Amino acid sequence: MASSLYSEEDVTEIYYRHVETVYRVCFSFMKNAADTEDLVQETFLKLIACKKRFQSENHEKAWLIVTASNACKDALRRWGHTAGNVEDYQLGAEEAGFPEDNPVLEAILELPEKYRMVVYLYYYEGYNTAEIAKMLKCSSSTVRNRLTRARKRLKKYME
Amino acid sequence: MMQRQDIFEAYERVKPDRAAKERMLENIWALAEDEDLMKRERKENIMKKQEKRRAKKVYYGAAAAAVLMLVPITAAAGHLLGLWNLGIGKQKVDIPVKTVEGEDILTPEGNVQLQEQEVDMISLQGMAGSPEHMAAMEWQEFLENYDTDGKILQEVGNAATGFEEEYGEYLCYTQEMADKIDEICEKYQLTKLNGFAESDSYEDLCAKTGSGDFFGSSENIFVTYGNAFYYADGTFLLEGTAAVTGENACVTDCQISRDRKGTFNGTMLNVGDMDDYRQWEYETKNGVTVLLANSDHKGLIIAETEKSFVVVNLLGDISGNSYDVSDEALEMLADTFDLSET
Repeated sequence: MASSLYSEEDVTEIYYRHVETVYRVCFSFMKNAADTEDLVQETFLKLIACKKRFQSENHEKAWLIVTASNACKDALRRWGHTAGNVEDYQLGAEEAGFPEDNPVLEAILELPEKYRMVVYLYYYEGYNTAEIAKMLKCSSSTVRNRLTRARKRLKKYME
Repeated sequence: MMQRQDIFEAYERVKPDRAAKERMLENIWALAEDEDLMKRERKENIMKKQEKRRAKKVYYGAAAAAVLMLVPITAAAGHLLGLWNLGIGKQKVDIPVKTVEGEDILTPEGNVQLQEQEVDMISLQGMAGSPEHMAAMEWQEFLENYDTDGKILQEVGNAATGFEEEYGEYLCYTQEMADKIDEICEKYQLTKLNGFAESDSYEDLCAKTGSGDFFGSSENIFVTYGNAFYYADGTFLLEGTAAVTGENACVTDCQISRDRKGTFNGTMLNVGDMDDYRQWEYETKNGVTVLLANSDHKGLIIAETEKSFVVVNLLGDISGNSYDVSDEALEMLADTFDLSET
């Protein structure tokens, strides 16, 4: 901790403030609890190593969301695969930490990665399309496009 | 029908319990205390660089002395000419501001800091003079002058507009926009995109769109399918990854778009500054003449066949924020992709 800008107390506070958000972001990518926990840890380790001072809780949260999603993408790439199908995890749902009887979540996790993130940020976190565009470094129209396609696909799954 | 609240509730149930939270925090402290994180990071970076240097040395040592002849583009009839022949015009876009280390700079509100930049946009539908290209130009011109302050969109918000089914692919949110799409299609004798669907696999995409095995096969190149969608006429967009091994080793994310002639598709591609590209015509092993364009941030393989216009957009390693596709690797990729039956 010698080289960190943050004291243990700071990190603990930030951790408890945002761990559920970071967990949801990581679960969206990894689809199981064990890998999700690894990536949550990696994200907060990056926070400890980070040389930035956050100026607000929103700033802090947005940084953690972007860092967590980048860490997950890197992990999936490093491991040379994309996260498995939802069915793979349902076989041992309890061990995998997959919430039981959650068909909506199953449908969301079947979406391609880029759609999952916009669905999560828009419907759960409540960011608007312009804010999501800034976080994902793409245009607002791309975000709207992804939301439209995600909705169509979810509609198909839920029929 | 799935509602916003259903999605919220589905995510609400994804959370670590108290024991998991404590376990993760304990692990974080254990890992952080085991070593100085910054030292470890620096050490890893040095090792990565050394490894890369060693790898390059091996490749160069084993390489045959092959010199790539870049054929300059000449304006001959029937040829693909150059990127400027696909140009739709310039557009102002927001580009993330980076630190010298290549990291995004965040604003106090936590958003990525953006800087407005003028970039060249190209059509993915056809060369200048084709009905598809002219239609794309006209639609772009309309968009540039429509709802410039975003007030109409703000009023519409994220509620359903009723245009989703027929005009959703053009992101229309008013009757005026929908009318313009109809006008353009009538003027250039084009049909609207319809029958959007997503494919489950590469094989499914080839079967549904009637395209041949355009991934092709090569001992040195591995192309993997990520996801794809297509339309009733066979227009599709696939996203995947291509890995080149050997002397010109590189890994790149890629998008392959095939637009059927006779259909209006307003999609454009931001290529940055066209002047940054080296461009040349190349005849692939499959006998297709393609336009190749390469820069330090993006590579393009462009082919026009009897029925389609195909663009392979090479983005480099997006997560690693790097691009290292050489001109030789670009030619190898062009040889691998079999665009003759697209």
